[in-house]
Amino acid sequence: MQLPDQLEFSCPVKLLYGRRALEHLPYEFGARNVRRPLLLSDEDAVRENRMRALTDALRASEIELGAVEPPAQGIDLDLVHELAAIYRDRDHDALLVMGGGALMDLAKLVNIVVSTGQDDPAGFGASNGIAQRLKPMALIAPAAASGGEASGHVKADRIELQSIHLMPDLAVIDERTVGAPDQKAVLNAGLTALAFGVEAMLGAKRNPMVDIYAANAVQMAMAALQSAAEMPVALTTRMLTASATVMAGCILAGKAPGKLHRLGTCLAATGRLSFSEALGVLLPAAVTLEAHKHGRVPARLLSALMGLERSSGTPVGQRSLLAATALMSLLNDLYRLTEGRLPRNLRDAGFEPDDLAAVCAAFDETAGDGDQDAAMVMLQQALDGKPNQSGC
Amino acid sequence: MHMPAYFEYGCGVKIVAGHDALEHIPEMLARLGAKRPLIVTDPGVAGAGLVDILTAAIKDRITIGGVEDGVPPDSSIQTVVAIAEAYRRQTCDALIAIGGGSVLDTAKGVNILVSEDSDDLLAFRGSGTVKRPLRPLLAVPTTSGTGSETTLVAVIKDETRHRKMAFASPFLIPDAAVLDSRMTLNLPPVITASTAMDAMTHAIEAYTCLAKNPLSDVGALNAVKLISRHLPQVMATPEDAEGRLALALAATLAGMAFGNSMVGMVHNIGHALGGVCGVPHGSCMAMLLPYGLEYNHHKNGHLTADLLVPLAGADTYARTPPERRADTVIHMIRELNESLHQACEGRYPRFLKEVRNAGGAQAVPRDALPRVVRAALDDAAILFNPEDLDYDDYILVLEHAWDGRPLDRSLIRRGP
Amino acid sequence: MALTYREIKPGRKPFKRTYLTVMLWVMGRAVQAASRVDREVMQEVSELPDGFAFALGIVARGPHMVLAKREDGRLHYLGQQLDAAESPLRLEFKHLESGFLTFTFQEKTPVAVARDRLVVDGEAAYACAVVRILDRVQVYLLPKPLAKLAVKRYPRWPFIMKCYNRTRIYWRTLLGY
Repeated sequence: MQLPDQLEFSCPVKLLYGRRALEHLPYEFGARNVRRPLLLSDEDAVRENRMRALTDALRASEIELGAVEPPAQGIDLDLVHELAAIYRDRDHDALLVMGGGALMDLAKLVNIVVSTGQDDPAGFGASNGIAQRLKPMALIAPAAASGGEASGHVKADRIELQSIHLMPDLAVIDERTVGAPDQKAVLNAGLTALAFGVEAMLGAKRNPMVDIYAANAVQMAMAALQSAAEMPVALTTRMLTASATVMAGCILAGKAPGKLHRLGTCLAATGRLSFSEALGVLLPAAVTLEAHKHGRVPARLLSALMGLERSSGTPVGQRSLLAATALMSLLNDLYRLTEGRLPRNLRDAGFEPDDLAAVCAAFDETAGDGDQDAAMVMLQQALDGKPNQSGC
Repeated sequence: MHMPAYFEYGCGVKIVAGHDALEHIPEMLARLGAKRPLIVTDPGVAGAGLVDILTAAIKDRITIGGVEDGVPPDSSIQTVVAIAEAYRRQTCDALIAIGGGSVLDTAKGVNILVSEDSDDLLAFRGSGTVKRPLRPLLAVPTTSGTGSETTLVAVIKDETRHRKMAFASPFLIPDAAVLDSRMTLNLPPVITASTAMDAMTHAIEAYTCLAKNPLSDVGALNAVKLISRHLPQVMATPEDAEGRLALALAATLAGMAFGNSMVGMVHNIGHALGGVCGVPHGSCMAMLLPYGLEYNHHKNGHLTADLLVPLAGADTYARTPPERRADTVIHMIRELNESLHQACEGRYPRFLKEVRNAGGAQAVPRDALPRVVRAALDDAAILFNPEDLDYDDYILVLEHAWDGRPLDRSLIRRGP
Repeated sequence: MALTYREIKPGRKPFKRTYLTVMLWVMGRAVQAASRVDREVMQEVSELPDGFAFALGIVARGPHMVLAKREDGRLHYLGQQLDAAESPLRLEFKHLESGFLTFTFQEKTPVAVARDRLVVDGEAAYACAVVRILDRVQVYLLPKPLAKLAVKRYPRWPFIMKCYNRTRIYWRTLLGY
């Protein structure tokens, strides 16, 4: 592995994964001096029995919960302040989040307010403005996740922040709270995590510490996506998806998102496909492009995608082709499985060659120097999903 | 991918690595709200000029509150209390621990006392007793071996009761580990080799023992790969700063892996051998590692086999028949030990009978083995070993390791 | 907008708690018995310091079994009260449920340790001795298929010795001497 000259890495999240994971929460809370966490849960928590599993796990412990179910739609500062007031008035000492996506963003904002005393989180600026440790926060991660839950990012309303301190202290993945078998959600979360992992293993910023999370995001997401065909989606598949998305959050941590992520955002902004679908169709192109740029695809990426036994006999020169092929065949399988609802390429999502320039222009606004050309190459390749060995 | 039914993984320490990583310390401390760090170290590190390199790198941008360089090889409560006193006297607000495991354990102990404003360290012993964030603590490792910069544990000796006290809490994890190639550039060959093999053993035991998980697995495999690739280079070219940094990173990765997945019988016997015969820890690890893998082979041979990829590359793995892979791994580790023995002109021992103490006498006489076994029976690392060992099993392993013979696997007892 | 706030106080788990209380009671008295019957256990106990005490149980206010070494060189079962022990070594499951998994043989003891379900507080050397004692007691106490789930390597003991000692340990466990 080529090591960077300068390396910085940090991931404060402790993962508790598997059978009876929730039961380890009281001990972990105790070690952090937490007695009264405020639980934020989504509306389905009661219906899906997740709430019961949590309260059952807290029985025979010293932990007292206060629970609220904030409304699912949009986050505004009033809601943040209202929750912060509950947190203070009811004497809570930590935040516990059961659910994903916007709910976790909301919790991060509440945490900023209750920990710093600042009423407007936006005041901390977009990048690493939060210098202090915040109140303990635990995430009970669902399979239907956006991938950003465990990260140090929050994007809501007009606020966009990133800081390592926004990452949860604990991420719990338990069989009873991983959520209902929703195939679409599993596919979306799996693709997002896969893309985060692949990008982290390919880029110039790859290092052996990030690899721990990236290789796991890839192998867990691959295993989950390959078994997502079973209906109803198996428990193991959902567990793997949830943990792959926690890995994705750990990869992102408090850093700015990478090129693939930003290009995915621009594609999703057209409304023709979702963010995770966009990441999916871009993936094979991203692999060939980065392989061309850095000379090779890491053996670890190939083994994460295909398994050690199958990948080990691959000569160095064939790795990128094989990695891209593995991803393309995954997309084809998912296309068949979803009866065409999940696109294999941009044409499936209704894009024509002429549409690409506009996406590229949108990307220009967010990109650093030299990334624009790469974006166009990726988009062109993703249009038909054809492998491009030359990378340009 | 090995997914246990339940596992935990976390490593909260920030890693900053580079050829000028020390220069980042002032801004890191500033972000943590500290202005006046106390440097804690031992006489060996100070004597080697490493504290001077550190102070030269940071003194223009931060006020150093003081340097305490008297940490003994086994950190003790007395030392902790004395350094905490110095910290308060010099109105410091952070700690920089530069050195090995004992220095860091001492600094963790000091941090408990100064943050909790107490003089009674014993009140905080045990698991989870420290319940809130402590003062900023940065760790600067000076060997690429122990990996203790990543752990949430401190072991401190209570001299009056002749006991080792363990402290464990998520708040004991240092805020950052600063890995700088200058810290290990002048390590002598024997220390370079044995500390690297210490890290190698951390990684391999984390990968092959009972508490493994998919996250520590990747870290362990990466550590093995970095060591097997860079150690021979560094032995041949000691001034290879890239290689030194790679070994430091590998040690930290291995530390992260075993901090989560624990270790097994190699550490178990190694701790005993160190305690009874005074053999340096890294040497114990290197000598015993092949025996640990051989003894556990019937339980975890398939995991040992995976190590062929980071040790020899994916091509070799693919070419080797599956049933031969574990044996090839064990053979390669023996060959690595042999080459390090030659590179160190015989000062790096391969077998127990070769170990010499400072006076040149045999450090592990054959009749000391029963005492080593009794000490090993008292060491908790065995809890995570795949197979059990009783007195006779230990003797079997130790006698083979003493002679330098591969373990006769037909003699290993298995359950019915 | 109006958010609904609910307080949730932790309840108890009476069934599992009772089950564990009974299991720990049996185990505690069996360890006491083994320290009078089995040569190896006697040897282990003889090497422990006088007055040594240990507790196995569930964290916080969960059930425990407490044993201590007395002047006669044997282990004595002191009941379920944690404060009955003078300087205890504690082996505690992090949650009632974790203890339940192990004591219903759903999870091997070494596996529970590997899965971070147990916390050991105290001297490691004594913890190792206690683990060896507990392993031996479980082999006596449990039928072979269950004992194989509890220990790493099921020992090959002479049949007569095992039957004889097992009978004595059962009897002493019941009668408590």
